[in-house]
Amino acid sequence: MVYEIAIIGNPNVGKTSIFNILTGSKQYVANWPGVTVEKKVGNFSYKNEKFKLVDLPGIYSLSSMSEDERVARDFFINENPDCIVVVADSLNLERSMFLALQLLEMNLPVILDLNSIDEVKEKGRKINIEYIEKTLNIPVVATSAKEQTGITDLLENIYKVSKSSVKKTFKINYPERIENFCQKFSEINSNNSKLANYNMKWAALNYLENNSLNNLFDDKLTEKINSIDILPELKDIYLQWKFDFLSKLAENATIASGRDWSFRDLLDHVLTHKFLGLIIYILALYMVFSITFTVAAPFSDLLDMLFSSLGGWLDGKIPIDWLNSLIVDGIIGGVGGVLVFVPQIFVLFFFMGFLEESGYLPRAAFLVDKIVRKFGLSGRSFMSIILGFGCSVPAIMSTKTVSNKKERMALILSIPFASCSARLPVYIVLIAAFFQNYSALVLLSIYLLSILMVLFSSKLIQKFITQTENIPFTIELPRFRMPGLKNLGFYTWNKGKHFLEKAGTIILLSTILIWVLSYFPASNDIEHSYAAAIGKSIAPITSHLGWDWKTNTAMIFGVTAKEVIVSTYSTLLNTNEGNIAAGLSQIMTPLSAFSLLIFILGYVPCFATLGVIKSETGSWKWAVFAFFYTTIIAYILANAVYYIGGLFL
Amino acid sequence: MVVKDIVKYINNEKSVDLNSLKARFKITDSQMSVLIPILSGYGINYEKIDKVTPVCAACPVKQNCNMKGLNKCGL
Repeated sequence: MVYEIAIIGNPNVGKTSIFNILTGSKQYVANWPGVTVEKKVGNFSYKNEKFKLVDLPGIYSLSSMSEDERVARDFFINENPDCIVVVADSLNLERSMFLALQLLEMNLPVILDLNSIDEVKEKGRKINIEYIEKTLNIPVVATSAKEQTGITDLLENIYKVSKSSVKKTFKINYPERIENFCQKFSEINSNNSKLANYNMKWAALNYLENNSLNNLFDDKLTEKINSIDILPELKDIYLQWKFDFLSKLAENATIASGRDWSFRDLLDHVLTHKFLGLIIYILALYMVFSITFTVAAPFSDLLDMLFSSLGGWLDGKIPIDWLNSLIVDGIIGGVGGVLVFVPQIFVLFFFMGFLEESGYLPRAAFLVDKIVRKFGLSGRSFMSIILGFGCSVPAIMSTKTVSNKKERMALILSIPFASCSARLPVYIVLIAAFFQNYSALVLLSIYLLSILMVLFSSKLIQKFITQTENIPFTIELPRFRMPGLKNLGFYTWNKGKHFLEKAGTIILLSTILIWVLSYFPASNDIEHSYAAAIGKSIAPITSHLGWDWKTNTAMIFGVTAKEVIVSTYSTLLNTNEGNIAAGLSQIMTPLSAFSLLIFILGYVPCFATLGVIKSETGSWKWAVFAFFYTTIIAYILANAVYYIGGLFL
Repeated sequence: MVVKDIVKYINNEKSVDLNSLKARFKITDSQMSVLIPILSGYGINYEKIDKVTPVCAACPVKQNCNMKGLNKCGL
């Protein structure tokens, strides 16, 4: 016999770590039927018994407002597991108790796992485990996934609860009006076959709380249930009772509340300070950019040398001229020109990963939120903007949660100004070519300008709309923690491998196309190639900025994916005999390069972004508008930087 | 502390943040932790910032990521 165990908890309480410790490598991932929520299942044995462990989504309640909550609720109703492990964060016990209480209301066999118990000790706190056990009449164990303590105790309790024929459950005494309602609800639904799998008392309480099971009652039943009592009043009584019960439980379960503040709290206070916090944020970014360029440069030079040597060695060995040029100038020059920046990208992601995993970046985001609100955007909008710094596509999709249609439109059209990670290689190559002594400062200015562009664009678009925000929004920040090297390694690799994948696909394809256009029709004269003709066609509007046809062509092909700008430069500059940075410094001045950086930051969203703008607005009209709007704004800014900068340089 | 008063206040405001709510109703950290999931019963949600950069599991377009290397964000 295989016992089925479910593991559930709030997000970020260490649930998956406990799951991994219990199951080791014996696990697989699938999707829950009919939804996109991930289902993780693992197996383990203990005392000659076999157990199947199902990792349920991280949720705060079973109220079934979200897909994750519905999946968990339906699992408990339909699967009837032998034991449920509720993983709670020991430092935030109160939050997890709501979910545990909901499971007890369903009359399910629950074990409460107080995880991160090591951090409780570190803070000088003490939890009265025995009190919780006696009050709720369930087993309670203390574990630390980080230090792998308490796991045997957890396994022993899983074993006992699963094997026990009489499941321990908690008898809850609700206020009298609630009990009366539950009683009458049961009588009215005694013949309702749709409720056959449900615990009747839980169904009654769910009806009161948010009625997520409304499809189980026809109009006649609904009318009868609604006439039992004044339901909104009952709902207030019920939820007030829950609040009082859980608050008292939390209060009595804490023997020692520890220090009022710790070093982490002090850090929090300083890092989220409205002035000091912003200065620290800017300094932290500057440090990360600075370290990135310093650490990565020798590796980048080494790669550059390797590709140059490879190109030099191969050049002339292929008897067919055009094929020789395609491989040496096109593929090795183009793709190699992009790959030499792999060290910078990996080092940057490593340090950004450190800031994020440590809990610092969310604090920085919190500071930005305060500014965002001054620009008339709601908290929900801010979450979408933050996503935009990773990739515009999911960021634009996430605006679905913004209820105000006009505000949503302002966001969709402004998010492309957020500097997505695809632009990074282009910044790095231009900075390496022109601003080696100020590399960190220039990259920092690009990121800060990007934030300002998003905010001012939103403000500009909102000039034409009125905005209201009806949904309350609150923000909670994670605790500070020292990121593990393994996690940082995963983070860096997951982000960096995307760049490598692109190098082997879209960058390679674009490189071949660029080579064809630069080789034909006159194989020995790139100045009269198709690529030159394309670039020269827009020269009248770019030459005054010091951008030649090669830059124009790179910009045009960069619309497919921003990294293609680098490979295009690499192919057109024929850099197998020297690095791309050296080639670039021959064709423009630092001022032209800086105005180009500003243009790249804002101009034309990539094809994927334009596609998602079309699908989200339901019209190509807005995708076309975004195309011209972002390009015109970027062009105006590039001109402003060029001419204003020219006054000082 | 009366939960329905807090709910009424939140519904009357355009936007409420956790700290201002704590200050106005003199709610302790412990009480706030209990209150947050209870508020969800009234249709009031909250957001937690944990990951600033998008991760695949949380991406709203992950079900459309079917073009392999040409359209995979890789996160």
